[in-house]
Amino acid sequence: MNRIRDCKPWRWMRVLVLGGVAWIACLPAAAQFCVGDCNADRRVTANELVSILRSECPSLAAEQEQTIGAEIESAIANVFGGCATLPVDWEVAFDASETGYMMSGWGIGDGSLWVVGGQLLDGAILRYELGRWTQLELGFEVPLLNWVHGVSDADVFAGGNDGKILHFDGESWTEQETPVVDPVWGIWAVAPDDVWAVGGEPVFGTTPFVLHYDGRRWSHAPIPTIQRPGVAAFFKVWASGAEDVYAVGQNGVVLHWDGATFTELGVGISQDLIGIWGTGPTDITVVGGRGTAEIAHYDGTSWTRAPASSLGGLNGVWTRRGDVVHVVGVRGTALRVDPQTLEILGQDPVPTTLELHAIFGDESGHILAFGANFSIPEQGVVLIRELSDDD
Amino acid sequence: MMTSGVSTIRNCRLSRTLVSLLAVSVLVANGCGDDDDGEPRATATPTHAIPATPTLTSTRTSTATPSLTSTTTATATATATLVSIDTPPATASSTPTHTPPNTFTPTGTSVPTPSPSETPTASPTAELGIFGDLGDPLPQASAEQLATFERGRQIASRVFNKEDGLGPDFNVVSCNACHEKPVAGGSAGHYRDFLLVRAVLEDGSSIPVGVNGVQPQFTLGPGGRRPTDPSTNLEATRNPIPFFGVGLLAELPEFEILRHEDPDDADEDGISGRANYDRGFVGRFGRKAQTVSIEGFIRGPLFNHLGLTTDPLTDEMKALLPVPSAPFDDSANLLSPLTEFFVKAAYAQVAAPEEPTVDEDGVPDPELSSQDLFDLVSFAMLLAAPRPDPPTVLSEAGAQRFADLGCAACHIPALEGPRGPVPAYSDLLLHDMGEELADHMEMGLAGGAEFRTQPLWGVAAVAPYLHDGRADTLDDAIRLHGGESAASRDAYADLDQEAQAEVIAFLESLGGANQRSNGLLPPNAPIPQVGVLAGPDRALTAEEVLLFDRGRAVFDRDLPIGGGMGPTFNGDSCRACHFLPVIGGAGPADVDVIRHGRLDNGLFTAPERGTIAPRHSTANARPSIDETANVFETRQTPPLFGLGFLESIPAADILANEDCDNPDPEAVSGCAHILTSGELGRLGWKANVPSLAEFARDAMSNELGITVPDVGDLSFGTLQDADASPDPEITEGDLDALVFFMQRLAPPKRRNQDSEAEAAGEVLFEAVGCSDCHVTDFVSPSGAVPYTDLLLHQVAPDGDVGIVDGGAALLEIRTPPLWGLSLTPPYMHDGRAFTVEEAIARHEGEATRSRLQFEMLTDEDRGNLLAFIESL
Repeated sequence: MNRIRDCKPWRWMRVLVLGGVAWIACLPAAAQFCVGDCNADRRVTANELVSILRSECPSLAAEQEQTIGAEIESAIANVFGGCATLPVDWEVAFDASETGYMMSGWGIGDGSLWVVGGQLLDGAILRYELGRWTQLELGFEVPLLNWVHGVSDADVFAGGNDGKILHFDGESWTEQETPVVDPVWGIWAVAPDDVWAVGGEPVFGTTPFVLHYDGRRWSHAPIPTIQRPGVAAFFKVWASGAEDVYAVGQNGVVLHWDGATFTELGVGISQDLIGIWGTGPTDITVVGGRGTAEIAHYDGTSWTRAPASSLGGLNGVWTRRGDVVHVVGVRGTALRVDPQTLEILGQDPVPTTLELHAIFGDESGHILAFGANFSIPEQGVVLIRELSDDD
Repeated sequence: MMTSGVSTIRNCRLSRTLVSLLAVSVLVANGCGDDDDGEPRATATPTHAIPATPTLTSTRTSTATPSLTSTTTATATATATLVSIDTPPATASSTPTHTPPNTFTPTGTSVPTPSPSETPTASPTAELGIFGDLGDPLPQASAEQLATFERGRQIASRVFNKEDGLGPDFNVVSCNACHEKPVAGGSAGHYRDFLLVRAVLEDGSSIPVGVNGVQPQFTLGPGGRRPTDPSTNLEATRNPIPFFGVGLLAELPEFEILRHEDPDDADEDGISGRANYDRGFVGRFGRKAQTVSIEGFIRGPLFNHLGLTTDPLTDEMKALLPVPSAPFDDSANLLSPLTEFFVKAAYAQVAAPEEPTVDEDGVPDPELSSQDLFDLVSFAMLLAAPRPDPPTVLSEAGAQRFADLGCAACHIPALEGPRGPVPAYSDLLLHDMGEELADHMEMGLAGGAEFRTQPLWGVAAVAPYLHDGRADTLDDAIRLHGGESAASRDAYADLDQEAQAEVIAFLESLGGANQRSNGLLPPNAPIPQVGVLAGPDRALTAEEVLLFDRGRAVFDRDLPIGGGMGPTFNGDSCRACHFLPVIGGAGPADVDVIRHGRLDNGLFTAPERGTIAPRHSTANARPSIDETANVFETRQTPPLFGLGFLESIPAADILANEDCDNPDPEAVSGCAHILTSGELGRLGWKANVPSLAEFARDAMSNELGITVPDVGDLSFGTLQDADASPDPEITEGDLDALVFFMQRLAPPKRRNQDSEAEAAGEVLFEAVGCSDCHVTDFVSPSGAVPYTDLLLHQVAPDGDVGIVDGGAALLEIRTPPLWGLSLTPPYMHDGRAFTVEEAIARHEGEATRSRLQFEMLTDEDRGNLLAFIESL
């Protein structure tokens, strides 16, 4: 991605030179831009800019796309020297336009993965192994499945709509009895006998729930009366251990379990919190927002909220180290964020405009993003790219 | 994929499940918002590819699906019907006017009127091809778009009721309720102000409460008043925002807006300006630019203010909208990230919320079809930019002063759109307006003191001004600016009056001045003929014509806050409640008066400040009510036609029908309401008002917050209030004119559409006992029969609760006149019957026998009886 810096008011604007196509859309003729080195002060009008581009790459026409070759990409890169072109390194791992929403995935790190989602009334569990995708025949009906997590390849849990929770014992998936009928949005397995599930009916419901599985049955965990108004659902749960569990949900609600009780926390966020992940009790990131993005980080002492940005809402977060978190959200948003400073390290071009709901790094060296159109008929996508040292 | 055999069940569950999945909290207040035939979307593969040249000027005329059949039925509205009414103009329609046609010009705001002899000079922008009168379609609209525009305009005026999906909570029953001034698509007076409500928590978070952060006034549930959420601790008033030219704003490329940003005031001119964002796109609509898409800006209020659920438009429908709104073909271009960039560059409208809205009011969702939504969105997108007046020497001098004062730093004269310059006089950016205007409502990136620069085109006709309507005039609006604009404000204040007038003249030249009205009557509206609705009941003398016209103007005018309205109020004019089907008529459910009180073991206690629970206040908060109240009741606004005749009926004739001591609770009795003054009450749902003179005083004080003069034997009304305006806040002359206007309003003429059925119905009306209360004894000079005995009856079911009013007991209600009934729904004292048949079905108590007889009639007889009633 190249950028043109708008001289008034010194704002970056983008020209994309990707996939062999350059785009400079509808530049106002009177606009002024700085070209060349990012610190240079060579001001040109949009028309002059186009002239420069044309001289460098004669086949390029202004205000419309042109198919151009690599040499022209290079020429344009020279014009905008110092502003690197980013590769499109996300690929479509699975086109789920016939399968349904792709809601989340989890694996033990051997390159295999469980992926859940499906259609609203017809949930799906997929297995990704050695680059091949297989959809399981469950043998029973289950609605959309929202989240999957486990402790081992023989102990995996998936939660979904209508209060459904499924368990994989290494051989088969079976439905477990739960005390709820509202959707299960998030699930986290600390140990085979210490599994948390959260959910609620966000529109028509009034009471969110947290469930706990002790290895034998699911039961309601005792949660305090939520002081924050309008909270009818928790959307995700994450734990660093048996005595450090967090649930996040509607209207920015955060609950913390210290091994004995749940406490409601206030992190200063008003919009829904959709995702949470961390590396330990002193490195936790939450994301969410609807109209605009929300990101906040907990360092063991306090929560820091990112200033409001131009980004749309965020849904999923994953990290494996303390200096970068991977975040996904609306319309194919995929970001890398420094959790300490909450600065955006990079925004990756991705080959989809679907909503990205979750992201999960596979310890074998891949990171996957899971997306959906959240419309009818249900469609989804799974994206994949390699994890680099910087990830 | 699903099979058709399960589609019905599936659709119901899908909608609900999908919405749960998406959680509707994306529907933020005042704007953002969020599908139709109940069928799943037909396709997952949009059929249009990225156009080679992304020109936004091209008109989409594709005839691809869906079929755009007309589905609407016009419903009479104030706007549509008031056109036939009149007020003497202050100036010729072609000349911008500074003085509203009627009185009540706030002090300190008078500015000289430009001389009619001024010769307009050529307008540099008049030939752009985007202008029209307020409410006109874009001149560039195709014939197909014009047809859609007209359908959309009809939907905007449609009155929704509970069968249509209104509620369960609501503020208004139509789009035009808030967008009526001076025509459909505009703004509204203070009686349509609404409140944004939040719960601000200790951690600084600010949670929208109510319905997505909007406080509904009404509920279809018991009592009719939607309570305030207990957690509410932040309220902010909003005055409705006009829609003129919004399609042109929607077309603007993002970078055209962004290039004016200066968030850190790098140029040190004291003006910053930054964009707000919605779903990653530059916001452009709403007081805080919190919404990017017109579809979202319509679906949100439909849900938040009317309780109407919708599905998002399909990609195919979006492709047919006047402003490009269709997403790209992801399947064909899945690997290209260009899509997102290109969409952001030119197709921001694609960012409309994708979630269906749903509710649980018993009406299947979506409650507004996708076709209707399409037409409504198209209507908004096609509204022309207000046509500026030809410049005059005065306005040109004002334009120069506007620039010199620094106003143009935010109100930049034009943005560059795909059709050419868009002279909205706004940069569409957020500016810090200081504590003076702060509402402490954070929306997206907008802080509590930041507001979008309001476009100024058409500003002459859409008072009141500023986000909460606190400014009665343009002069007030300038003086109430703060923050970044303080220097410009002060510089304006330092100008001499003549120079200030030039600035105002310039602002008023930006469109709409020739359509400006003090209320909703258009300039030069004639007085209707004798005997027709809103016309006089008899020929008037020349002197009486003037008095009638003055009274009508007083009735119609929107009262400014500076004119004494408030501190609490329900309406800002008499017309605000009495406008269906024309001025002087009834009111829809969204102007019901709410009464309240406490009932303990059958003993009713009225609140100290009276039983009215007002909807509005000038204090940026919902008016407080008696917290101990446990009884709430809505009161439908009855029409005023023919009240002069009712007032003239001799008391003895009314008393002759009294049978107050009948021991049979199911027998028709009828009690006169003798007031404490000894007078016979005959007006109002409780017959609690003896005359129109008292009615006018009562309504002025209790509905508008206007103090009245101390006059003779008249005892109704408030002589003093706590606001800053000197009392009395209306003159005796205006009151007299108002009373004369109401006294002379002609009674509705009886229609004769099916004389045979109606004649049969008239016989049945007597036979089943309707006429026991709805008596035929009284006949007006024009031959109209009101069908009321003006006595109190108990027709509510046992166990019901109500409001005691003087001598009118808890459940006693005066027999309402039936003339004009078909023109003035809803019915019953609480307005909860939306059809005549439903109203009959709700008759209990004394009317039980008549109702049962009605129900035992044959279908044909019932039809005849209804035909008779509806012919009245």
